[in-house]
Amino acid sequence: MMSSALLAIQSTNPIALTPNELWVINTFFYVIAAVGIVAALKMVTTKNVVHAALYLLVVLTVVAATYIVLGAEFAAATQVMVYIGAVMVLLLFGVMLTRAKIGDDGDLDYDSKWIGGLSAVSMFAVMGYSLWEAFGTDELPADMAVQRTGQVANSIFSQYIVPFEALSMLLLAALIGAVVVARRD
Amino acid sequence: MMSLFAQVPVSTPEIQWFYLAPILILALGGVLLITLTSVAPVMRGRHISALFTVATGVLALAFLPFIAARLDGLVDPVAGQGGRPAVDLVSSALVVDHFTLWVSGLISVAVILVAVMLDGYLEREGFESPEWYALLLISASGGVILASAEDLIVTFLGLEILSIAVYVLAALHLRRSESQEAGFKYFILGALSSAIFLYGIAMVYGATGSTTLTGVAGSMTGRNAAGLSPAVDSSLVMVGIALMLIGFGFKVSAFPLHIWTPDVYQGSPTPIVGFMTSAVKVAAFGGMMRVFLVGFGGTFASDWRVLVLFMAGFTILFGSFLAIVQTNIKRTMAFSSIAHAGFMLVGLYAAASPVAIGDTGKRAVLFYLLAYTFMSIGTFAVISIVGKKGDGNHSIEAYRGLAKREPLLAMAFTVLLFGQVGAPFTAGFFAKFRVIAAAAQVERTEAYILAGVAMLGAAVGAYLYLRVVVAMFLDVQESPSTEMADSADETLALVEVRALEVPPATLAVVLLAAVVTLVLGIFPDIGSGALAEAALALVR
Amino acid sequence: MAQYLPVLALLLLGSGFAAINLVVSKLVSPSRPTEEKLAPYECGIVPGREPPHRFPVRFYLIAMLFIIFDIEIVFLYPWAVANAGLGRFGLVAILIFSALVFESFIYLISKGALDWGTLQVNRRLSPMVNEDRTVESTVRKVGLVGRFEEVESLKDALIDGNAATDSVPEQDGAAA
Repeated sequence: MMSSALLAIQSTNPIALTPNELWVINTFFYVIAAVGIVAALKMVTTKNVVHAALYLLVVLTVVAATYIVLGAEFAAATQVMVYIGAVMVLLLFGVMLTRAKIGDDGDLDYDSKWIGGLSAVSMFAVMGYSLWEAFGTDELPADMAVQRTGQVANSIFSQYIVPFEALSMLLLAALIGAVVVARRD
Repeated sequence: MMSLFAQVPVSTPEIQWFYLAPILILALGGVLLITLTSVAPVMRGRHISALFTVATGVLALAFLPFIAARLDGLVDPVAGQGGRPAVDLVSSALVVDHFTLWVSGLISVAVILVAVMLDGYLEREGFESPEWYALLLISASGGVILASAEDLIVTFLGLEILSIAVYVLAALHLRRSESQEAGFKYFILGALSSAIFLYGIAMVYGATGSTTLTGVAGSMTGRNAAGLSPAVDSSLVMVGIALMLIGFGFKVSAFPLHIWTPDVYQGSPTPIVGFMTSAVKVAAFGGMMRVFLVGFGGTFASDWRVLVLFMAGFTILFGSFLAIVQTNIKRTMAFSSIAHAGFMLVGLYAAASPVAIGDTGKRAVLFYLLAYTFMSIGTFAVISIVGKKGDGNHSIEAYRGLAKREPLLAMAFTVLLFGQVGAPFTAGFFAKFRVIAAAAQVERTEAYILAGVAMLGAAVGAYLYLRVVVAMFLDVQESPSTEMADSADETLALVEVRALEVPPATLAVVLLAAVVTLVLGIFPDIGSGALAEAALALVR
Repeated sequence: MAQYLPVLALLLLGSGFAAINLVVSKLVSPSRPTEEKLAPYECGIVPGREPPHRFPVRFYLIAMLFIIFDIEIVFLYPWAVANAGLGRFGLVAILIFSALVFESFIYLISKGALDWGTLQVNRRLSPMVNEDRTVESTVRKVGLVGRFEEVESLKDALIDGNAATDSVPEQDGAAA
């Protein structure tokens, strides 16, 4: 059974993949997925704030690479520009501007972290189970084409024009908030 | 060269600006305010921002009757099924119907009253920033977007615009570290709940292949007897609904997700708490009702309403019982607002039932929102006045002898508190009565138990409000703190007594809220036509 | 998907190149470490602790400016791609978006994000901060450490607040 969400991204402009290419893509996905999981775990376990930021960078890059695998080029480019470019810069600025220690910080541990771990694991179990049940046997369509930026742009400016403009309000609110909280004069 | 770039024209959606007016007015009001105060320092003078905000709110409110009239005049309602007038806007991202108008009206009223209250507060605390008002307006516009969203993406954005502005407002009393703490806690927990909410949207989209509420509802119909339909993966939908319930539950501070409420309410500037209990709650319940009743109202309603049942029962119990042991009035009112959210969830539980009872439930929730908006804003206006300069005088002891010092204020506060108790002849009575009656109409064992729990909660809640009322009518001398005190302390107490300054505008807000509480309690059918229309609009 | 093959190849080539270089230099180069060679720098003072001061929060505002324009660019790009098909509707849409995002830029500037030295806002609002205290006077004051009368007169001028507007140039002139 193919879920309707996957049907939605099926191409209108098919470029069939050869088995060879499919193998490359699958291998690539497994490699980056493994890298992403390891980096995410390291990010929450490391005791060095800057290392945590850099592991986050790896996770975000992996997400961008996953978008590429799914043929969502624009999302990947946005991920690189906004998250890897801007958000990481802001995060490192935050580390620099607050008195966070640049090196190891033993205080980063939280005493009742096992509660967090427990809820994370149970949430992972529930979501993983339901996702597996829904999509476990699905495969990406072999004729999946790259989502062209033009198509994305057309739907941003027609069907999704309200989210687009609402987003600018959201950004405005967030920026005013960030400035007014940071600045005390 | 032009041919190189020529493309097929995209069919762009038509925009009906008139129906968008409430959102546009509130949003552009905020933007205009922040622009004007940025470029023209003259605009930064006292009261100007408050006046501007009130004017914006009044303008948004003034548009609503005209929109309602035009909605009713529609010959062929575009989206309204079941014959209810509704207009789909901008390729089904937003919908304007009587429900939207009801919620927009409540939010606009909240903006107006909170802006008036904020003016006196900022003057006392010595802040001049227009950011308070701009963020208030932006947050309100997010609330209206949330309540009128027809697409889950827009729902999420509305929720975020609403929340992010409020996170900042919670932290805006820069001289109180409690305020910073409140903003920080609210932000961290709120961001987490937003992320969970977004997970929920992704799950629902994964199962149904659509983000619009009508699309989601459409693909969910036709679940077969075994609970599985060919079109929708049932467990994925259930997880999605549960995650979205968590997201909304956080915003309305329902039971397992209510932990943040006392801390945030205690630390935030008092007028902003008034905004949180009114506009934020109205908007969150508006969005919740639209998403759950319109989007998930079909086949899956019998599944999620069990969750709502448990949430409602425990929310009422926790809110009522934990409020008793509080000594800080803002914490008390925080737990009381948790309990009120529980009562509204009882109404939502009833609203998820089949049509006839469902309408009673929806009407009950909408009336509860109306009553609670006025009662909570009035209550927090009083707390804001009694809080004194520094916004820290919030122990219940501080209310001793208020009836002697400020009889008018104390009388109004008594009315508001009796309203929250649910005493007869106040709006609170009908609000509570209607949700409980709606739950009892469901005629199931668990619904009767829920109604019983709600009544128990209302009875327990009475104690905590009456405690404050009793304190107000006691003498200052009877306070235990002065029993052992020498004369110097008594003089100090007297000085404190005189130091209570009551800004006339804030007092007007309190009186208006008290009058509305009484009027709605004596004539509960005022506006019932609009209420019924608003409730019926949610049938899809 | 095939069009990404060069990217993948380049990625492998790049990381391979770096890895090979590291391994080869480890294998080939002679390893004779001394204490000096193992020090972080071969010259200068080895930092013993973290920099004690906090950076001004204004750097953060600069980072915010970067974010604003970054996000604006991200959305200008698809608009540019789709522009021909969108016509006036797209133009209005992107203008509204840009105006709202640009609004936060105006707000940042009014908050003094691009203002170094004493904040303009403070100069207007607070009598504690003297209008005559410019970058120039501050620099001169530092240069005058030890030259007593001048520093004292400047101090007086600062304390006097509004009255200082007249007195400062006078005393400056006298001292010069």
